[in-house]
Amino acid sequence: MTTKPKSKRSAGPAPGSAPAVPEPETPTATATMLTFANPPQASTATAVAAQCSRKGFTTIGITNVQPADVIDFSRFDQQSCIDLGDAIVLCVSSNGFSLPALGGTFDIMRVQGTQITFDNFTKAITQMMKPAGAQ
Amino acid sequence: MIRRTLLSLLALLVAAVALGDDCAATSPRFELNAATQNPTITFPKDTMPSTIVAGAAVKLVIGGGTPVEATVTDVTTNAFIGGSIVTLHASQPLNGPIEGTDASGLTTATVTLLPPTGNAIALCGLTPLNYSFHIGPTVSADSSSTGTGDPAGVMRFQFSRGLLRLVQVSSDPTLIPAARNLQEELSVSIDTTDRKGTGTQFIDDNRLTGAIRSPEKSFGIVLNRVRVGLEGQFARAIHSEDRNTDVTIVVDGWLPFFQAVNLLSQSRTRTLPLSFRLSAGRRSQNVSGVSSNGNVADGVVTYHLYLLDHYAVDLSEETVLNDVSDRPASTPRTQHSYKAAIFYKADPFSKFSAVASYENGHSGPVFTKLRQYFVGVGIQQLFAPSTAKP
Repeated sequence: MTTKPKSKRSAGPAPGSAPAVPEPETPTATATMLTFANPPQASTATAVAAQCSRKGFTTIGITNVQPADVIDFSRFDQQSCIDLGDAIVLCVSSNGFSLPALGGTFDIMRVQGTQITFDNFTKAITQMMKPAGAQ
Repeated sequence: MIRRTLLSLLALLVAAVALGDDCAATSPRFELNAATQNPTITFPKDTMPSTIVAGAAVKLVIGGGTPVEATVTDVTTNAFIGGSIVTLHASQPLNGPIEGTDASGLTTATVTLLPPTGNAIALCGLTPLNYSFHIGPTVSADSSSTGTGDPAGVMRFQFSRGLLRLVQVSSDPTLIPAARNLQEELSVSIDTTDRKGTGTQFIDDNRLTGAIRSPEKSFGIVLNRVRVGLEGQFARAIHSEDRNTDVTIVVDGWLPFFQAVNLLSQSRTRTLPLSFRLSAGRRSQNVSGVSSNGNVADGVVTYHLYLLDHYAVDLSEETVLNDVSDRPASTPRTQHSYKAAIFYKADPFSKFSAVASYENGHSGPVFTKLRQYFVGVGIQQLFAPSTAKP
């Protein structure tokens, strides 16, 4: 088993901010070097989780999700659960991480009537992400 | 005799299917990872055998076929619901018979896991059609309790099977599988008896349904995951000449412009936006020797909204157009039906429970009743001790 990326940080978009533009994190030469010199870090994982979760919800028609928003899975249908999971997994995979399939998890949440804040949703995604090739 | 032989042949040629019901929350789910195509099993909390660990050898039985050997490559703790998500590496590709970018052939959803030790575990397949098989002779079709029927031998045949074929029309790896594949569906359902019973009760409901559906396609915030499909259904009684043929075009999807709204709420709850399903087509039928035909159409919209931090309201409206000639006098050409259901939750993260619903009204009475209901419950809640978590 490989070490999971830690989820401590807050490099993602600030609560309430628009998700379209990545956070302008001091675009210096040092920062760029660190990015290339090291494998994906926890901060990157958190940002990718937030970005891909937003993309997943946009894929199923839920736009402009904010961190404090409560997602009500009880009104989802099964195909939306599958599409949400697929969209997040594809997005995470294209950003240097891997994630197990999530359609089953969301389908169980649908049947259970789960409600979860978007902030906690992205934290859960971050916890399950692993650097690509770690499996 | 010919009919009986025909039934048997049909039974041998095609297998059975029932459209999938909801799986229980405690049932493990089976799916393919969209990025890797690896088979994946989601075990809810306390349902995974302890023998399933990374490196363990297991077997998958799909649709009752030959077991496929697989190895557990990863076990991830599920941060959402507890339990684990198990990723497998199968000894042979599974995306042919099940789902995937280059899938073709029969799609089945009855998947069983054979763990290293212990009993087989039935998995709930997340595919559009389930596979089942049930063929008679099974029970007497005459359920008369008076004994005047034909208990000696009217045999009932029940049989259904669905085929799903996914045809890849886009190879864009950034698209979700549902947006890459065109769907072809064919299902056969037979529920009849080997001969007419002497009693009054008689079952003879046989259907052949085919459909082709486009991949999901989204258009910004205007249309989301829209599918266009062509559906055809032929229903026929074997013991008479009664028959019914429908050919319809179906469009369904979501309208993100109409997001679920929150009224008088401090928190904001989000869910799927307004959904729609429109179908229009032609019907031809022959009932008791009377032929009739004409246009049919159907439209359904469904919307969710949230109120006062504790209530969810599901609204749906359906309009049915039936322009078939010789339709019964009691059947109007156009019908509207409305449904409103109200759900309540005690605290922000508890499950909504249904408390009231109204159906088949028109907009006036429905909303009058809703307003009256909320006034009553609102006053009740005002004086009730709050159970909401901080």
